[in-house]
Amino acid sequence: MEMIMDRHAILEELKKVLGPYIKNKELLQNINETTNLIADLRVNSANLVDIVIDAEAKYNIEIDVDSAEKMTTIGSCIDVIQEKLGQPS
Amino acid sequence: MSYKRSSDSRPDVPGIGYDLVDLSLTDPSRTERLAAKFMNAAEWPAPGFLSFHQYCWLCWSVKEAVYKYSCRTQPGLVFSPAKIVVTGLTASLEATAGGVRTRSRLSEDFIETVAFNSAFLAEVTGEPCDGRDLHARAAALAGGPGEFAGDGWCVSHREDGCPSLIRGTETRPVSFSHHGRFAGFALVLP
Repeated sequence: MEMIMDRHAILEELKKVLGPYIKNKELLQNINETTNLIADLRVNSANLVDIVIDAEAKYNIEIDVDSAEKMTTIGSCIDVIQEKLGQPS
Repeated sequence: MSYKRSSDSRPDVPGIGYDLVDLSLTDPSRTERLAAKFMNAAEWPAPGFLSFHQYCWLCWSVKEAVYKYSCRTQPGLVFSPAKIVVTGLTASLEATAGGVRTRSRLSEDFIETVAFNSAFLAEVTGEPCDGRDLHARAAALAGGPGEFAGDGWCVSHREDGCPSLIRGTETRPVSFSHHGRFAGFALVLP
């Protein structure tokens, strides 16, 4: 039976994906769905594509270019991952 | 790096966009997967004077610089790298992307790109440098090259983060970038 991941579970896994690209790990402790990857977590824009690729591997999904462009906040990342997992948001 | 003023400056809103990539933070084993995510079919193949890895990151740098340039007149613009198409790349690393001219520099350690439409001077530190140092250097250069007319300039960020040098009623567009060991900026000069 396929396991359904709720938004909280996706968020916890997403933290592991983001970890290597965030210098100040304390920033990860207080993230929420409105947290912006660049403005709040200080992710370098050159790493945004790395994060998309790592998320694809983590969740065994494929993220197309249009969807990747939406992944600017934690909430929008979760939206895209849920959509690609075929789960209702 | 520094450039002379271009002779074909256009009288529209002066813009500037600058991007810098620390190549030590890029992974050649991931280049193909990265390229598939942000490069446009029209950008293939890589020109013979660059490796695929260099070309991939040069295209990224061009797209970022053009995005920053465009944000000045289009606040809230979403970065869509696959939709910014790099064309006409020359061996001297000049190109056009999204209707904006760009010039890049490639070294063993980094790639930097300036996107522009007007007279400008650009400089890169090539050394580790924190943001405050960078802001101070940009302010010192704001009056023009070779003179210290920059007194009183300070860096101001718009609500969307777009930076400018401000002194009284004067405003000069500036663009900053940092990645890994390097930081740099480009600014529009009078």
